[in-house]
Amino acid sequence: MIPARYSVRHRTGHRYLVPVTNGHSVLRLLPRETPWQRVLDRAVHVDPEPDHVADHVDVFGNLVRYCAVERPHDHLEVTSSSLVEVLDPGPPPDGPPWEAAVDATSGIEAVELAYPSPLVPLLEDLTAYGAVSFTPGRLLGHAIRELVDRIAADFRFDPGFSDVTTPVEEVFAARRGVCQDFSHLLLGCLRGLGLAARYVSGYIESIPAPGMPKLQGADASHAWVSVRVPDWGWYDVDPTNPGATPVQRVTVAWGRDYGDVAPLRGVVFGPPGDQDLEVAVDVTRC
Amino acid sequence: MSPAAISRYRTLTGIHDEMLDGSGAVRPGWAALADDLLHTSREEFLRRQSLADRLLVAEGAGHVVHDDEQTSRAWRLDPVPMLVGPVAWGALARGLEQRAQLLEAVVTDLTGARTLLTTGVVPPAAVLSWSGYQRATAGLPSAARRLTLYGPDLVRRADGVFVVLADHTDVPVGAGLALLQRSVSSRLLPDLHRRAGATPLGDLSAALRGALAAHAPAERRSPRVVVHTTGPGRPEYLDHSYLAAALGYHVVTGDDLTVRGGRLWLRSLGELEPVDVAFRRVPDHWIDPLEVPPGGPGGVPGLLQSVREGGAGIANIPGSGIAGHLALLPFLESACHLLLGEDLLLPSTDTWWCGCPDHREEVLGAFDDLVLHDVGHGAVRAVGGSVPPVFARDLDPEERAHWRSLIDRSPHRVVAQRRLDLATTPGVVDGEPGAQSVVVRAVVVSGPEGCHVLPGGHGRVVASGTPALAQASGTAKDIWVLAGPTSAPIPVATPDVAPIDLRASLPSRAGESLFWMGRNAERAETVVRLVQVILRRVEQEPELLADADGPWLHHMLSGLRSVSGAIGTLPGTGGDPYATLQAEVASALAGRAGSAADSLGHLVSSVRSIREHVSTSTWRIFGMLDAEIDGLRSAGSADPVTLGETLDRVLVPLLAFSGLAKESMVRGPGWRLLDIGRRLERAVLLLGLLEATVVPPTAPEHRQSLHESVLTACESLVAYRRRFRSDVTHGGLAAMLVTDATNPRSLAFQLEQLLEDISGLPAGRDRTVQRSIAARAQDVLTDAGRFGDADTGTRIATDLHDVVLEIRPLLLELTEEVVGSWFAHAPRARRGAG
Repeated sequence: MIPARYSVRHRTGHRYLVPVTNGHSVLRLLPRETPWQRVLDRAVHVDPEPDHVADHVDVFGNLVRYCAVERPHDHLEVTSSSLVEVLDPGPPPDGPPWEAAVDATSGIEAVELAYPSPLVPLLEDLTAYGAVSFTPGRLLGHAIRELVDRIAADFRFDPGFSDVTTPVEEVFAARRGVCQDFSHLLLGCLRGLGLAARYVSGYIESIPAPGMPKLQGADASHAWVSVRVPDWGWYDVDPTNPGATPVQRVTVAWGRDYGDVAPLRGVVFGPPGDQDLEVAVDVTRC
Repeated sequence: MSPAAISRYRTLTGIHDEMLDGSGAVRPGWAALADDLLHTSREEFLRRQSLADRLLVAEGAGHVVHDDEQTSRAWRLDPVPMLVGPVAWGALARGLEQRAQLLEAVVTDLTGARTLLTTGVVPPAAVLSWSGYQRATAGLPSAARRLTLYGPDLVRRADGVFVVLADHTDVPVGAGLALLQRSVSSRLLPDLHRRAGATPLGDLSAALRGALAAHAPAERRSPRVVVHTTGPGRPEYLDHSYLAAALGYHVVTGDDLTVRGGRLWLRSLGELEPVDVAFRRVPDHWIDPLEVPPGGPGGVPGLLQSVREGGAGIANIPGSGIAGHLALLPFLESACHLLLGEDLLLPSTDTWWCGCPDHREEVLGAFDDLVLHDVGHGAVRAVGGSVPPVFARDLDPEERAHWRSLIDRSPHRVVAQRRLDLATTPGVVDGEPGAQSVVVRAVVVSGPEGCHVLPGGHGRVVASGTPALAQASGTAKDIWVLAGPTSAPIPVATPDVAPIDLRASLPSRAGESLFWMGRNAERAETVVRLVQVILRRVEQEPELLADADGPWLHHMLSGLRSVSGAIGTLPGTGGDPYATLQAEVASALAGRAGSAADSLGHLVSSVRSIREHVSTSTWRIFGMLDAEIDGLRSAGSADPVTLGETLDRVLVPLLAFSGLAKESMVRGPGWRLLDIGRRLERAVLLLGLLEATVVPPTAPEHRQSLHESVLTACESLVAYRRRFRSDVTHGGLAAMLVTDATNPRSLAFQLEQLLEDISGLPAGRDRTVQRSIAARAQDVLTDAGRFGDADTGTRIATDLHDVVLEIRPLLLELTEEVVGSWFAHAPRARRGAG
């Protein structure tokens, strides 16, 4: 299969109804290089022009940009544009029996992602829900795929139900949410069993192939989960779109949960006032 | 020690005691203290305890402990210090120094190369599973030692060996408290302090200043250092502010700081001043709401970025808390071999981390002999500690099941330590000497020239039946390190940096506190004085109380209402004049916002927030005032004699405060703002008093007593008589209190001082508007002309009324300008999308 090439444009517009005096933002919007993803071009444009910009790489290897607008402003528009090439990782792995994968959770990279994190606490009920698919001796890949399909079937995609602050307990109880919630749920199931898995933020192809339905979550930044499969690598699974193929996903950043990879986080100073937020994402195969 | 003494102080056999050795003989160095314990009566011990309590209150320290809000309570100082001999302390200090070096290396490693984890010397999960491990702080650069201030908790075991129970490496409290305790204990036992030869603590400040200066970015030769705290509302503020006062640095909170251009800045009276080093007293999970949301008290968005870019030095480096994680204790010995190539000198207490299967086995096997800590996710991480640990053997069946299941399901959250029998030391409880156990928060400062181990520490008496780290007792204990026969003072390297002159700099928040201190002190003083004048006059001329609606009583009480914040004039009651008087006095003293008690309450709480700007004697004055507030509250029901005494006890310290402000405060922006507050308040209250008493028409036969009372309340009657040598006239009174610029109580004097204070604020601040308002007020007085010596009756009253009506709005406008332009607070933070 030839690599898929995507042009990605992600625009986030804030409008402050009462102008703010200054603001700081931290952006994780620049796609990272991975063994299966080449980044041919990437740039972030911020309007108004920031007074201060600095980049660093975080502890997970993600590219982070800090911007500060240090004068009064009434809007903040952040546009990230990139050109990336995604390779096909080949057929999904079967892996060893899942218990062997648990035993192999050692080393910094795996241990970092095997424990509860701020947005993915250990929940007994959730672990029990996930454990149904992990029967003794079952191969890791098979168990994961069954669990992902169960989440897709049991939970309803409902953008109106949750926001970034909704705890995973509520999502689990209400059986509805968005990609971020389903990813946290899946992470909770896997880590509850002792497996290492990370939260991935990125994009999914937004223009469906002819005759195919439009993928859910395509008009915003997307999230999915990557599970560590011993002797294979990190295996991406998407509980929101279990049918999507690996080459339909563009990876931006990963971490323990959404909190580690929020695409745009900001603090502004100024008199109290409302703000509008507009997000648009285009992921076009080219 | 005589049998009688031993009968008063019992020790347990087989347990090390600090004062008595195994044969019951007094250890070297303890002779004087043992003798004192023997000869001191119960009454004397009780007296010392109450003196210690009073001294702590006088330091503003009566109601604070060093832990999070849940456990905040009144604390006391045990009147008997714990002595440590020079040999024992020498060994301890060497161990502490090595441990500080080790933990420095641990911080550097765990925020950088993570060799400890890749080699498996520390199991990766012990660090990576901990909710206190701040990933946002990875890789931050540091110009100097990352662990500038380190504060371990030490105990001496029953076998006489000192062990570390916990290492505090994030924002250890204790240094300020140790200094505070010493100032109390040395005043409590001046003679013993001298005879025992306790090593003084004075080198700490110099060592810390040098260590902090080393964090300044290289090109800044005269670094500006601030003590960055969680704020005056927090219990740990006492420790922070006491230490800051000793260091001579500004205490700032999150709102005082801002990050611009990748640098750290202080908001100083409406301007931004660069900050080179922040002495961080804000826990790392609160420090930066941008990168570690949601942040907490003291947080500054962008702070971590400024550190990352080298735009500010922060000590301790954010993220340093990881080295104090209890789960590291079992692995420190191997870490010491790996990182320093040395044996660990000062042992940790036996500790197990249940994340290791073999540790877990041992914990389950020895369960009842252990102290259990939940270090896990969701556990509140208090400043300087974790959630209180428990004795496993004291758990009820339900709690036991909880811990067993926690160990089973989330073993990484459980750290266990061996329950220890502790050595004893003498202390006093309820006037009786007895054996206590003490946990010592030691203080180690690491700078470019090496380590300084504070010869002393902040001791806490261990409450019986609780783990030493549970901090349940709230009784502090001073630690005296005895000088050895040959011990020379340890030289402290003084920093090779020119100190920056902070006189012209003042954080806006501190400026505002000083301004309100001036206003509240003046208001309290005015109200109390006026009440005194009214009560004395009534005593001398009881006939003034004959009629409730008599002009003197009516006008004076209206004046009292005006200066004590009442809304509306005195209603004519026609009732019992004495009851009216009593009710009005009670509300003026304590009955409403603006009353004397209310103003004093504000005064005392603002002084707590700016401890570093006031002298030690000022503190004592505020301790006295604080103690009288309750007296004012019960003033309404007090008999006249008691009330008079209470008023005196309030007035004298208030006068002392105004004298100290005049004589002992540097004429920097802080003093100017304090004075501006005082002048504005005095001017406004004077206008209110005149409006209520002198402006309304009064029959000539009532004027004399009224005028005299007003002049007395304004401390101007004697001066009046010297100037006019006559009965008080309308015109003379107006001249004295309004236009006479030589009378420090007159309106003209206040306006002149206001102009001078405003002009005296550091250049560069825009003072145009404020100056022009004060000048306009002066013009009003000039236009009003001189109030003549002769009494032209109603015309003067009308002129006076015009002055009041014209100047009052100008004073209010000036107040708004001062508050709005110099104290303009950090605009409120809002969270953007994310």
